[in-house]
Amino acid sequence: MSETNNDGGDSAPVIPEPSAENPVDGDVLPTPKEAADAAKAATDAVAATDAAGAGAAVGGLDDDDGLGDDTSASPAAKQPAAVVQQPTPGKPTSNPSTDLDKQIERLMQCEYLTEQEVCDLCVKAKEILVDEGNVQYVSAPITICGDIHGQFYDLKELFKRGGLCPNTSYLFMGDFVDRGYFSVETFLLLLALKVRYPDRITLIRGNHETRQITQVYGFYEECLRKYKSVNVWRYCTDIFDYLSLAAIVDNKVFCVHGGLSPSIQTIEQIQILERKQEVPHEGAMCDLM
Amino acid sequence: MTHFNVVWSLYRWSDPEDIEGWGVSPRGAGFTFGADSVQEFNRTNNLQKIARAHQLAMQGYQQMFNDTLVTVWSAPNYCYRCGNVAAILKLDANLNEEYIIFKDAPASERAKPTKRPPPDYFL
Repeated sequence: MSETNNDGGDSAPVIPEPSAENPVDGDVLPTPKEAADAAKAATDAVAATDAAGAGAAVGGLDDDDGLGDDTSASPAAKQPAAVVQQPTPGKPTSNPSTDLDKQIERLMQCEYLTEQEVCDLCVKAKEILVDEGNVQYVSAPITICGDIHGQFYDLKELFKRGGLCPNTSYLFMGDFVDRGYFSVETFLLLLALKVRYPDRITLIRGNHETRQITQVYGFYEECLRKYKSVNVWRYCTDIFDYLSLAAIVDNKVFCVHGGLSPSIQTIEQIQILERKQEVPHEGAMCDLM
Repeated sequence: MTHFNVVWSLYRWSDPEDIEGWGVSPRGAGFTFGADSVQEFNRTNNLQKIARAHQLAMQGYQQMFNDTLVTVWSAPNYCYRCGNVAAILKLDANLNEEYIIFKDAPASERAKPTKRPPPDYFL
């Protein structure tokens, strides 16, 4: 497996290539002829980049990858060995909304928050998300978005076209992180908007919002690079466990990251799943994502 | 097998496909589901449509199964090299659909990621 270093030097993060060996999320959908031609051109470009690119592999699952074997959160997921402090909420401020507005302003400029600010934000986010159902009921009008994958500046384009939150109500269907260069800023911006305007933005969980996948596809490495510790990765992945699995708009439009499950026939069956955990490798919860 | 393949094959995710009922994913793990599975799910739960993400759609979105399912993809030029456009689905108060297509941000509006602080040239 070869990777491409887009910056030409050794300073840019490495993005796993979407290829047959390292699949994109699912496959590229079958498209009309024009799209197929475009897809072929893109594939050719990727192949050409593959041939030219060479770089170090990102952290994998070998025992020498710097990751520990602590499996306390999930038997399947390896946990980082670094000491992790328990989240300690900071002192309450006189006007939390104003502080949050300032944080959102900074995040909109692609400035990431301090570790303590992330900790506090995640504590507040958890209080909101814990009360949401596995299937969150939302109302139209609403704008539904797919994968973002850490492409922060493209998320800003999205907001330019769709309108800013809270003026526009948003539903994001997961895969906020991994692959792109700015997973930290992307997820924290969406999470800050969620805390500030809980009724105007809904976040549901994608298959990349897991401890195991983020250790391979970029988010873990990005947190480590930007914060010199795994604490922010730990805070964020803990929040992933609380994200809803699906949403329904006006009782008519079912929104989910991945698709249907052969073991799910009714919405009620989704509502009774135990979602607050690392995603299992199989079963209904995994199928949906 | 690479690390990527090992981790990917551990999980079972499902994707829509032009089949009847349920199939096995060509990726070797997970399911594919066809129009009849979507129809059954929508009828049982009194739904009119499924919106999902997860798969790159080069045109930003792709309708399937007589428009009863749509894939929405919002990462333009995925991985900074796939050349695709992105889409968001705007539903109005009556659930009428409008797809907004957008391209990736121009180079002038995006910052390059940095790993190390800038070198101190004046030491």
